[in-house]
This record gives sequence, structure tokens and C-alpha cells, in this order.
Amino acid sequence: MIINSSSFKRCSNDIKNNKFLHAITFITVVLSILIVGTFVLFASNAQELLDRWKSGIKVIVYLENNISSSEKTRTRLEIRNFEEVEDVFFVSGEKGLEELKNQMTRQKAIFENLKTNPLPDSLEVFLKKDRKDLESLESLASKIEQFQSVGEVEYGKEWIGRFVKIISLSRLAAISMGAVFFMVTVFIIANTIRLALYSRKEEIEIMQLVGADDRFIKSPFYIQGFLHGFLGGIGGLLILFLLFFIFSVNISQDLSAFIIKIKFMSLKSVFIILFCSTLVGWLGCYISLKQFSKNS
Amino acid sequence: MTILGSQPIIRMFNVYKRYDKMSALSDISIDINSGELIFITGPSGAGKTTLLKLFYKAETVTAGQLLIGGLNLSRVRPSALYKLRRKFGIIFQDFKLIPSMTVFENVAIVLEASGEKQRIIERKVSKVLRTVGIEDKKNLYPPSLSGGEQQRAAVARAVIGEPEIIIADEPTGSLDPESARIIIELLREFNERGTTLIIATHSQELIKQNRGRVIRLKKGQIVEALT
Repeated sequence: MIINSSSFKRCSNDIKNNKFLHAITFITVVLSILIVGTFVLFASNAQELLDRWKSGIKVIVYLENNISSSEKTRTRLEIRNFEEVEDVFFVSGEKGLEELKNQMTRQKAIFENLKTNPLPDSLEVFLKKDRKDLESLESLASKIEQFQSVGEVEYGKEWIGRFVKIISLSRLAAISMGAVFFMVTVFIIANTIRLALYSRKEEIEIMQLVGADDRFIKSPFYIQGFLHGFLGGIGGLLILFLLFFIFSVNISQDLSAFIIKIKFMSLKSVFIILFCSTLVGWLGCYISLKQFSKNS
Repeated sequence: MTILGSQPIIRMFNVYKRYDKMSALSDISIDINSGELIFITGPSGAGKTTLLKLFYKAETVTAGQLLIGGLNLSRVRPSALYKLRRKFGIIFQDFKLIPSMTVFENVAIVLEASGEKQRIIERKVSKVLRTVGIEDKKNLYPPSLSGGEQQRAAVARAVIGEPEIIIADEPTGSLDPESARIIIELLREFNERGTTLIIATHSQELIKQNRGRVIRLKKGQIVEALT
């Protein structure tokens, strides 16, 4: 590919002569990146929230009241030996009640009237980092439930299940929206380049007659495709960042009550989006040039 | 009819060109030597422009063989066509200047396409524009030039790449006598330096004023060849 000052000059001439067409293409790329970026932003924040939540995930195993302390120790050790388990802590009924009292200071009166401790002894089971998914939780819970010494197992199955579903859906939406907008944008860029090619058909024929090769003729169009993709990507990301900034300033206080801190996407995601939008520009250009070469 | 020369740069053997069932050229066999001045003449529709187009493969032969510098044109792939075209400097009847480019850019494009350095391009283009007498017009666009000035720009573009062969299709057809004289003088200068010059023209006066080989066409056939 010969890219020299002439390529840039011919590229800028074409943009000047077809301002409206190029503006529409640029705006299309910006909007596509904005929509896809919004989904990526939502998915990455939801993932972050899930990860933070996962770090605190534990299975609470309530033991039967009438078992001996050696049986309690054996149960703890057996659970500790499961491959997905990181650690198991014993929490006595008394300690459990103490913690509950500390958590419910406003309802202290309820506890004052208690004659006996209603809470059984329990085990807090923490999973290994890479096993904190719903499947592992369910399989571990069902294994623990088999123990004679265990009364009840609790791990917030419904909440975790719903949240995982929301995250999977948003990820799927980001991927499918990305694929749809990828194709739409490739098509629009290909069309723009095709129109530019046909408006300069005579010029291209003259160049061929004076000995210009294909690479020289095509170079300004590749620059255009690259610029549409790259600058459109930057434009879309900048607008997304601006919208994110306005949004986060206005609602971060409301969300802080839920201990949620929303963040902009990672630098890696920014580069991936920028790379994809540049690829879209290049691909659109490649397709139309390939068709043009076939027809000319 | 066959005309033989000692060092042929162009060789045509029984060349035919047909468009559907209409015959444009029939049984053309010519040898054109390196450095020769050739006039191709004949009435409108005789096949002059078609013959020129076959040389730089803007048209392909229907039958027969055409060799340029020993290269059989039927074997030149479209992707390698630019190499053949760089052997030629072509002056078109309708100039074929790019209207969105300045005179300078129109001429420079030949060197830019072959990857020449910008510094060298500027020097060479300025020199050739001075030679053809339109250096002061280098920043103007073709539509703002007169016919004579556009033709000079076309000559500048044809010679800038120092081609082996210059092809000129009716180079004086739309010019006043003075502009025509200047253009022909310029082309003759390049021919005298060893460039093969092929001119297609109606003008018998132009042929009489210049010593060159004349090939006369009629209805797509060579009817006369004078040395």
C-alpha cells in the first residue's frame, strides 16, 4: 500500500466534496459505538457488582440441636474437605445471637423477652475464588444437606440466580447489539466508499491510464475508512463518557446507599471498542473496493 | 500490409478488433521502431483511436498478436497493466485532466503513482511546466484554463515520466494554429531525444510539415503506408 501526501490530499479533497455523505457515515459510527458502549458499560458495572457480591458469598449451615460436639467437629472437617470449599468457621448459637443483636439494635426489645436461644449452632462455609458460581453453590448445598447432623442450608439461591440471569442477559444484549451494529456500520461505510468511488470513476480511469496501480488508487479510500472507524469510535466513546459523567454525578449519592459505585469501562474495553470500530471502517472500505475492482 | 523496421518497439501481427459483429480493425500488421515518428491518419471512424487504444490496452485485440517492447499484451494481467502503461505517455483527444486537481497535481500524479520522492516531484513538475509554458498556471484547476493551456498540461503529464512511447490522439484538433505549432514543436523535441512518437491526426498539413512515417487507415484497414 502506497500511502503518501497525495493519498491524504486526495482523501481530504473527497471529504470536502462529499461533506454530507461523510458526515452521515461519521454520525452512524458514533451512534453505533454509543449504543454498543452503553451496553458494555452496563454489563461491566453489573459484572463488577456481581464480583464484589461473590467475594462475600458464603453458605450458612444450621446444625441440628441434639448433636454432640465431636459430631459438629466431624461435620466441619468433612465439609472443609470438599474441593470447592476454601474454609469453614464454626459459629455457636450464642455467638450467632450476639451478632444478630448487634445487627438489629433498634429491635433490642424482642431479644430481651427471649428465655432460650432460638438460634442453633452453625457453620459458615466460604468457597474458593473460582468456584463462587451458582452451580457450585447449588451442588455444595445439596451435598451438605445429605449430612444427618445438618438441619438447614441457606445461601440466597433466588437472589443470586436472578442477578446472574440479569448479567447474562445484559452481556448477551451487548454481544448481539454489537454484532448488529457491526454489520449495519460496515454496510453504511461500504456504501459511502462505493458512492465516493462512483463519483470519482472518471478520475480513477484517468489514473489507471497514466500508470497508477491499484494500491495507489485505493489508498485514499482506505484512509477514509480508517478515519470513519477510528474517529467515529473516539466520538462515540467521548459522548458516552460525557453522558456517564453527568449520570454518575447526579445519581451516585442515591446509589451509594446500596454500596454501589458505578465506574466507566476499563481502558482495555475502550481500546477493544476503538479497535473494533476501526476494523469496521477498514472492512467497509475493503468490501466496496473489492466489488469496485470486480466491476471495473 | 506489413511495414518492417530494424528495431521494433511495437509489433502487430494480423490484428483484428471487433465490437460484437462490427469490425473496427482488420488484419493490421505493423512494426514501429524505437524513436520513430508515426502519423496515423484517415477519415473519422477509420479506426485511428481504436488502434491507439490497443497499444496501451484500453481495448483488447480480438484476434492476432500485439507486442510492446517484446511483451505480448494478451498475456498482461489486469493487475500488472500499470507497468505497461508506464511505458507510455498518452495525450488524449479530450485531454482527460482531473478537474478537482490543480495543473501541478495533474502532472505530479504520474510520479506520485510510481513512488517518487516529493522533493524530486516538485523539481521535475516545475521544470516540465516551464518547458510547456504554463508554469504560472500550476495552481489553477483545468476548467479555468483555455483549450491550448489544457493541451499543454496534458503534454506535460504525458512526458513527465520520461516514457518510451508518446501517443497523441488529435493533439492539435481543438487548438488555434499558434497553440498547435507550440504543442507539435514540444512533441518533436521529445521525439528527437529518442522517444517514439505516434500521432493520430486528420490534419494533412501537420503531416506535410513534419517528416515521419504515415499510416493511412480506412474502414479499419491500412490502405497506405508511406515512409
